[in-house]
Amino acid sequence: MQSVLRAVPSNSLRTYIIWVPALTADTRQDAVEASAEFTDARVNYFWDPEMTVANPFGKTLGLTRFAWDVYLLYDQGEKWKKDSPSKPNFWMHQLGGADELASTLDSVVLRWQTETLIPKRGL
Amino acid sequence: MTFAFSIVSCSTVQKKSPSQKSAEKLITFVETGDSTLLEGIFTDSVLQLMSIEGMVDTRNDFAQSLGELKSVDGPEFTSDSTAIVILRYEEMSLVSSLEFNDEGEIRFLSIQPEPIKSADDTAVDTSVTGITQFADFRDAFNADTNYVRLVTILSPT
Repeated sequence: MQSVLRAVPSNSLRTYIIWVPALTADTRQDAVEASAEFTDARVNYFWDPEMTVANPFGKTLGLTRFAWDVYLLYDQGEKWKKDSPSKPNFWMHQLGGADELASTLDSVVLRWQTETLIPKRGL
Repeated sequence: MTFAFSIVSCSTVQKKSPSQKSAEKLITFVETGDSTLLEGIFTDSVLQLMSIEGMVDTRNDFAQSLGELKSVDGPEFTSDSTAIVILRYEEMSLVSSLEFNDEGEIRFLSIQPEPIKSADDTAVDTSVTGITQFADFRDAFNADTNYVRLVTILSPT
């Protein structure tokens, strides 16, 4: 994630990290400490203890459980009206058993895909 | 005496890594337009995405639309395999991110406008917002509808 943010310094990008207790020992304090490792003003951090967001994301992506270890790209203009997210323009994962749904995370590919959506202002 | 001094001097000169050589060739290409410098510095996967001719066109487009290249900062290596180069044109500065394979070939290249510093950049907010209903996240997501958005869901440990 950090490498993608460094490689795509555009102000046209916003990032949301939703921390979830995927491991039973995960706590909000862990989320706070993990967030502090980032130094990028374009990142927003959330703590989703009840999988309130992770569950609908799992359904949208076709997963059999809550979404976790996923990286989802949405283009400008995308807006949600319901209590569930729409399908992303592109996504990758680090899950076992989801390879039929999307590719396993490759930071280079994710960067390229992010950059294809970033408007090339002034170029 | 002079000869002996020369030998000592040569032996203490630090050798440039293949990655550094590739980065410097790329910079010299940007400065001079000499496309022969691009030979052998990119992986095949990069060349499949953009040909040498395409890079020459891009370089010329930059010069035409952004004015004179005033200076180049870098390459600044952020790790053994990654570096940043800042191209300062008359009209705008561009940040180029480079990633190298083990042979020092460039396996990833991106060029983006340099972010304009704002107050937000100097005071990074890493506060964590608790989610109790889907709307908590939906409202934040919708508020940034004018941006490309990257959403990740992760375990903090």
